[in-house]
Amino acid sequence: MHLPEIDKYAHLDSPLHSWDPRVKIVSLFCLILSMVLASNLLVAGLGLMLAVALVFLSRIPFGFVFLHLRWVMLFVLLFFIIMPLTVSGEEIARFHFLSISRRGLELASLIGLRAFSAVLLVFPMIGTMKFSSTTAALQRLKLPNKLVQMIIFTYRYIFVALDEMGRMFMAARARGFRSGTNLHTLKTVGNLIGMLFVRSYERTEHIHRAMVSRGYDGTLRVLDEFALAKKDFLKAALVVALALGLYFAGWTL
Amino acid sequence: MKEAVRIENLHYTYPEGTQALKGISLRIYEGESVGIIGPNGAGKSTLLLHLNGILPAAGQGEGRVVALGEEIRRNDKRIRSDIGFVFEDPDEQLFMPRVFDDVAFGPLNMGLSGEEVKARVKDALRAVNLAGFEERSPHHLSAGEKRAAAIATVLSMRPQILVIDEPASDLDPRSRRNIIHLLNTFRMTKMIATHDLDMVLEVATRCILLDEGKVIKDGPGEEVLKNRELLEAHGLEMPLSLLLRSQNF
Ligand SMILES: Nc1ncnc2c1ncn2[C@@H]1O[C@H](COP(=O)(O)OP(=O)(O)OP(=O)(O)O)[C@@H](O)[C@H]1O
Ligand SMILES: [Mg+2]
Repeated sequence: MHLPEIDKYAHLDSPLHSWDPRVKIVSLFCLILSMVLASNLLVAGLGLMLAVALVFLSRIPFGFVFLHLRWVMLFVLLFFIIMPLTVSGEEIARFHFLSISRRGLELASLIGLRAFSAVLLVFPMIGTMKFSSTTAALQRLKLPNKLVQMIIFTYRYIFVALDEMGRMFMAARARGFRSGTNLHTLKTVGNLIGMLFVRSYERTEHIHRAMVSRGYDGTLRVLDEFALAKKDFLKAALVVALALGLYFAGWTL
Repeated sequence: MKEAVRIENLHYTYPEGTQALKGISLRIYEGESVGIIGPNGAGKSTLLLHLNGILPAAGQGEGRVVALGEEIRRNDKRIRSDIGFVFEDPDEQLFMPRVFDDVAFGPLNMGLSGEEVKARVKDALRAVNLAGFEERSPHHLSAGEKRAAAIATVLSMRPQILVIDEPASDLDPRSRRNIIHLLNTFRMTKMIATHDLDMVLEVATRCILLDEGKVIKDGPGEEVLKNRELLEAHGLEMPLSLLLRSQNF
């Protein structure tokens, strides 16, 4: 089964990998923000180029990135279908009763470019370190402790739940279940998912028990193993400058 | 001999109404290695859970549990770093993104310094032959490695009593052998619940047979495990090694 392992390439060596996780997250977050706020196509295009360059710099294979980009593409495609047809403005083509507006096409492109750049940047941001470093950094950045714990447990148990689901469907198939488009399939799948919820609930109780028995009192503690160097700040200055550049370029261009 | 655990007339009924323990009394002394055996549903896990005071709050109970001179109440919220509890499913014991954080979890909660935490993690992983596994993510460990890592997560707290529920279920023969070997290297007081009677024979100095929430038999390991009629009357089978010996193979 394919598992969503964002930190598969955390062991590589690149300027992004060696960057302090906290500074990296904050800096790249600024850059993502500037891309999401891009107000015209030119700036958004520049942003996309920058994002691609950063992915390249991170040495994460593009194949891996595209694999994870499928859903974003689907989402963007949806906008490309809906917006040119629904947004009113100068008409550039017409098929029978459907009219395609230039304004709609532009808006869809803008949204597409923004989405792609932002999602692409996630890879140099958190694909370049172990997931444990990401969560430890988020914690050091004073993200609410409960939120960090939610992220940690979601990530840890998504694998367990997927395995469990795989096993349950396998068992159902072994007993002659074949999926099809009928009521029986729907009922079976519904039951299996219900089972999964019940098991997950029991599991959370058990995990909680295991945590409490090792002294958990509601606050998650991690060892602070980060060390800042001048290089970290230089990289940050560069990236934040780019972010500001993009943001202000949107006003003047 | 110094007493490690004293259980007096312990009763417990789950909120759903299952009477899991019906008057258990026993004493365990420091350095003993006690195998707790019994068929499914005998109450082994429920008994062990009383040692760290974590049971459904809505359950009904009476009796007393004293460990290392202190009374343990159900739903005791204090940290008991001197009692290390290894649960049956390692996936529930290993909940952090990497092995290091899991093994460091207990020590960090104990408020130890960073240096001390690191030293303990290192020692604990070495003790279970997982040196160098710090950065691995628990999901990618083999079943045997998960078991060992789960044990390391409590060893790092340096407990005086080690409580383990089913340490070798779903392990292949070699991993099972490794766990048996590991358990034999630990010097602290041990309480081990299992169906694996051959393992009990190897790791336990004493054996307690439970069924239907009561102590049926309590005695030196081999003595209990040799009693074929008794074991079979309670849904268990004599360890193969003893069976072979008794039939002079
Ligand atoms: N969380 C729970 N809620 C309700 N009843 C429970 C719960 N856990 C156990 N029981 C019941 O309590 C009784 C004793 O269970 P326990 O888990 O202690 O047995 P066990 O000896 O550990 O069995 P096994 O060998 O299967 O692990 C059983 O009848 C069981 O159904
Ligand atoms: Mg049990």
